[in-house]
Amino acid sequence: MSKKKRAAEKNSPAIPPLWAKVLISSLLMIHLTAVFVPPFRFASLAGPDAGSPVAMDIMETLRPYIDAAYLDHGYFYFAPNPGASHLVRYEVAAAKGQEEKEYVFPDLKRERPRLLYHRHFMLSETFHRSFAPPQPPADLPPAGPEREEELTRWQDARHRYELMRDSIENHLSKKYGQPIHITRVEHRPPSPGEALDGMRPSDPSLFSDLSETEGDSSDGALPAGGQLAPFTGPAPFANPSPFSPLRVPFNQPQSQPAEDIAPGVAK
Amino acid sequence: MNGVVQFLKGQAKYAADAWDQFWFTPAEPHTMAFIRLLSGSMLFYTHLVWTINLAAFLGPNAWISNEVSQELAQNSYVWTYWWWVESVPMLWAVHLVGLVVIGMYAVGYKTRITSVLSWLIAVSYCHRLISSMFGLDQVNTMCVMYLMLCPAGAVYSVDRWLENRRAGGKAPEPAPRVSTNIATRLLQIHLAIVYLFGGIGKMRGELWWDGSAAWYAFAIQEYQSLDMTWMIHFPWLIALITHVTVFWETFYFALVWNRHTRWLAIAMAFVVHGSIAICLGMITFGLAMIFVNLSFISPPAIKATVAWLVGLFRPARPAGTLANQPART
Repeated sequence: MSKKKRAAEKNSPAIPPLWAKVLISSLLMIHLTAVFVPPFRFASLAGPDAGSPVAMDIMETLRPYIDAAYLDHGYFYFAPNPGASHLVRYEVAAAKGQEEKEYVFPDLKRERPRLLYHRHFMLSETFHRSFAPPQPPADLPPAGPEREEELTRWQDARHRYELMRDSIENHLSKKYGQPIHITRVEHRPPSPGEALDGMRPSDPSLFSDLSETEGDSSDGALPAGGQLAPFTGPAPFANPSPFSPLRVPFNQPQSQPAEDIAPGVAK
Repeated sequence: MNGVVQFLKGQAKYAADAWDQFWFTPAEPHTMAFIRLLSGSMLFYTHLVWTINLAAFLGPNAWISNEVSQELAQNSYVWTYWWWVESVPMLWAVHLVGLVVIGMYAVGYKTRITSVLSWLIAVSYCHRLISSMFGLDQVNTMCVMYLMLCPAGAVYSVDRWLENRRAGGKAPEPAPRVSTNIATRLLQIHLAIVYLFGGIGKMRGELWWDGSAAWYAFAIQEYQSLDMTWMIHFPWLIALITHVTVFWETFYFALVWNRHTRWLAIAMAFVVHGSIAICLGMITFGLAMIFVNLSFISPPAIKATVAWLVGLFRPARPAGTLANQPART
């Protein structure tokens, strides 16, 4: 074949034969289903494992591909409502004669550029979202398989939370050469009413430490009121990946508590 | 009965033809190549930033250690080569090789190979650092996943420059390809799904209905890069931004596929994501979303825009320079 002919062939559009079109079309449909189903399942969630059976079953069938290709996302950007931020605070003992130092992450002053700050912000959000209280839920059903299932779910969630907490504390302990304990902090935005009264988003009263022993917290809720939903859902990798601004805020207005959207699931 | 059969046959043929035209019409590479240049640069920057705190995120004593990362990923099909990287020197070597590959992809060198490798690299980082991921990483991986399916380095690339040089400056224009069209369609549909569920999610929140959601987004201090809290004195404006955002996101797929409203959907994307970039401190995410929206702009339009942009930066030749040059012998 001459050089010219080869070049001409290379530069003319090749239309696939019918069998190839059928094959490609099938693959396209499978892929697009894998793109559509994770947010669909997430939107349909009514509980840790309760959602539309259509979405759940297709999701499970396509799970290997969805996981491997990093397609498990909910796309709930700032939804259903924009909510409070979650930070992590820790204290570092200083050398003799000096005061103890307090740090918080994320911290725009120490984490630059902005993208690096955002990485720390997402880490503190994910850590907070993984929280499960040290004791099992108070409203466990009476003895039976449902109770066992819920207990296992709580144990798994608590285990994952402890893994993350220990890992973060270990990182900081190695960095500062001393044992470090961390505290989750919630920072809620001021309501329109508070802002009109002159309150700034940096007002100290908008920050509150979160309890390590209780699943619910009324501190730092949005002004309309709300509950801090405990994380008792599936493993982080079993759900749309945890990230913000794609997240269901923990603080929902009273008219629509997080539990109404996805009991036990906070994403 | 025959009439019904004929009608159904006609409808089936119409659907098959529409499907064929939608997916299998060859497309020129300019739009996807331009997106590669922009989103590839973003992918490179995203990974370059890890360099600043590499050991803290991926080292032996990382925020989320390798062991914890693996344990959290149990019972899933998540994978990452980072689980096999343990020593610090190896960590740096693997990271730097990744950066070189993504850099090659961004500039369009050996693009068919480096695009696939870049996707593998990007997904590996996402799976290992899942706790620090957000929308930017989803958009990054989405772009490279589809760009690796087509000749995204056919133009605006080192590959093209080399091809042209080998052909003595006379390399023929790259031909339209079916693979380019398929990749473009996939990117468009994926983007429409992202917006659809973004809108559906917001529709479930009462703050998006009572018109105060935009206020709460502006008032989250951790996101703020530009203080927009002065808007509290303009509640009507806050509510308008809130409602327009929800309706635009939810109906994006319908607006963008209608040629009469496409400009509106894309212009809104520039405004919304531009605002997110400027006001909410997510410059990278805002830009990445704008880049993906370019997939709805036709290759000839991109070609003309790039030519115009190149013309702006090319030094002007003095008038008559060419005419005054002696003919080469």
